[in-house]
Amino acid sequence: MTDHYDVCIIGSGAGGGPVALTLAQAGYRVLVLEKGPWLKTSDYFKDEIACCRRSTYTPNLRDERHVIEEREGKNWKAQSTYDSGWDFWNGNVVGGSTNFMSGFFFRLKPQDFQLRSEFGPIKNANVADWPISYSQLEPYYTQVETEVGISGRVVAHPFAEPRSTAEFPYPPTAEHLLSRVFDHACEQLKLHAIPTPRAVLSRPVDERRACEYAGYCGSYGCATGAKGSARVALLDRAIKTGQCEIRPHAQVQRLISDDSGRVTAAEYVDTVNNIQRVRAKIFVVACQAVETARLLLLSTGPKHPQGLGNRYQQVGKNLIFSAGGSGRGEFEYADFSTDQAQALKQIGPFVNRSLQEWYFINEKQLGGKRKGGTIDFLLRHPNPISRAVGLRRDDNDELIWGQALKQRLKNEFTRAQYLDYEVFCDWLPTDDCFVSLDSAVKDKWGKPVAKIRLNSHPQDVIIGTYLSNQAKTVLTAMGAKNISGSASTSPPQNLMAGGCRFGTDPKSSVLDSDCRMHNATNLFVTDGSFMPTGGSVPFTWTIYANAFRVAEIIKHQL
Amino acid sequence: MKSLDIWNRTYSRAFLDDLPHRWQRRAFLRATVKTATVIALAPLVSSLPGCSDQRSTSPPLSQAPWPTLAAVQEILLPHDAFGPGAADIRATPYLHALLQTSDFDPEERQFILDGAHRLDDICQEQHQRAFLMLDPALRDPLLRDLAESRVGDRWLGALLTYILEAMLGDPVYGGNPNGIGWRWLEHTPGFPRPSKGLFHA
Repeated sequence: MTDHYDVCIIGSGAGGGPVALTLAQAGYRVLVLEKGPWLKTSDYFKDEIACCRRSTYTPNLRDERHVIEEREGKNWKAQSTYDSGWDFWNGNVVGGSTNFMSGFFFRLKPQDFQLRSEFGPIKNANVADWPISYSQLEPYYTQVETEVGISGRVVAHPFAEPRSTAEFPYPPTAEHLLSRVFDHACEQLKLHAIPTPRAVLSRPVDERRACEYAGYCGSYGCATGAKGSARVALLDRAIKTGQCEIRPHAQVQRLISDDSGRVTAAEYVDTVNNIQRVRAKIFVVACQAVETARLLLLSTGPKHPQGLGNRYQQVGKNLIFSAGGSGRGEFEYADFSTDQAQALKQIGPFVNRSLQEWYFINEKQLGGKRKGGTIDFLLRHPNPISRAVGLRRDDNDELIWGQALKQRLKNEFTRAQYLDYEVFCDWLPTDDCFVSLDSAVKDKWGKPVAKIRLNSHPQDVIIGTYLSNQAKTVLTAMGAKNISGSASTSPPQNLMAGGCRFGTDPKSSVLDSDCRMHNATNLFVTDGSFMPTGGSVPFTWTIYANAFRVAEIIKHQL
Repeated sequence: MKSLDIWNRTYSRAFLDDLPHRWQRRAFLRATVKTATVIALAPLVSSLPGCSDQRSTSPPLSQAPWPTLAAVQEILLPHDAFGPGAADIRATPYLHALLQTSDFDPEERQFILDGAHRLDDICQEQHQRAFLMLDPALRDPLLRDLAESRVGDRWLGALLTYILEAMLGDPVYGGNPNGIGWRWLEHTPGFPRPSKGLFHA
């Protein structure tokens, strides 16, 4: 217990990075504890087997798993992720899952901060207003544009959120032929095509190279430093101040608190399975929603007999994901000129187009004024193994092999380019979507694993279907064939938030409006856990922005 | 069909039902350079330069059950004028190296290897000879019968998955020599490609 830091941050992703950088730059001694290894930009390759076929950047599910509870009739059926293969880990390395994101970056809208006031209560959903407004977060959204590096082009559209600057600091990344086809279709449909802002550098800055358009972005670690991971964009700079230390392979198992309720130390297991403790004035938890809730629940103390901050049983509650759906259209090379077909085949440049035309909807068929969402259009992921493996069974789930399989592969890979869409809409928080500790299943250190109960609200699918149908209309106008798509009730496990709501009432929230724990004043949570509602966009930009905001608050508290 | 029944009963329905998932994302590679897997992978990686063709016929691939597995793989992905077959993409050495990685699920390894022996038992029962001694024209129909059973379906499905990994994964893992699978499907790989340094560093 010789170490003594001003701030100890647990988790090195989007929640941890901004705090580490801000406080290190302010001259405070910062320690970041990360359970995974510290891989550098030069350690990342375009290797589908390492990236996407094995748990290379996440724990072995035999050693560390989750338990997922899903509805089965009137009961809940629990199954471990080791048994199902449905992996809920998202990048346990320095920089966390920001290393592997696609970096589709959107701000929330001002109305997202007060959904309950704007749209009223929804039956069986725990919709709550945020304790802060868009205008309070706006300066930090802007800060992220430069600190993390966001490329794009601002366009006017009906639901564009207010900005304090005119443009993004980086111009858009290179675009694919289908971007132009998309724009043309949108003009005809009188829709506002939005160039998707990306946390991907279009020109180099310091030691980060610009995007080199390798064509494998999402799910892959970036080999140029262009992708705005917390590691290259923030932590590398924090290290350079000489004030920040990153300790990889440090799996924090509990936070120790004293008789007053304050956190005094973090206890972690090191590479050789020794238990270590570190002290700090302030602790920041940012392990991503599920593991943050688990760590707090495991951290009992004299003032926190049911886990840190859990006196009103709020820790882990109101877990949310990004609801929505997805779909695809095909562009057959035979329908295009040789040159066009060649351009269609190109992988590397991005399509980078989105629509927020239906971010808010007022439709009779949906019952009037409703919260809608965002549709993002992107080239189908080029991962060849996953595409091929999907072809080894037919629609009746029968195996296909021999000549038939070879023809199927050839047809799939060489006939057409595929344009995908993804719908992002609110995953309404409900009483049946939460994190708790499993009473039986333990990790390899003997600690109870997180049990995740999953439930989607019926409205999520209604909205998802509505948006999915709009996306299909656009694909049709683009001339796509074999269009398919649907809404989903299954959560994308890489887009999680909630579980430690911030709010003004300690009885219905875990954190105050500063993301400080209500009854442990030197403990902050800065990952996506604080979000009472998630907005209808990927969360990462908001997590980064809020972490920069909280970093300023911590600076004043130190 | 006694042998098939016995085989079917060896594995629980739950185990077999989980298989399609289990095969997808089993951890056997760790990015951390300190793990035992690095050592386990080293023989595979160091054997790559030169990619001696003898490797596919030298021990242990010449020993049971590997010749049987190789024959089944060639039926699943036959060499023909249309495109490469299992031997062309080095599906057998790939699978062999994969199963040897220390982190590979032992139950799954056993299931794959055992399947070749079970196939021989079934072949003996129906044709009074081992699978490798069976008239090539009768091999595919035998596998199609086998695929009707749950256990056969899962076994063949697993073999197919690893054939496709061998064909379209990076050559650094021992399959897809010189990108033959990528070229056949006109696929552009990303860059930078992995070097053996990733696992040796």
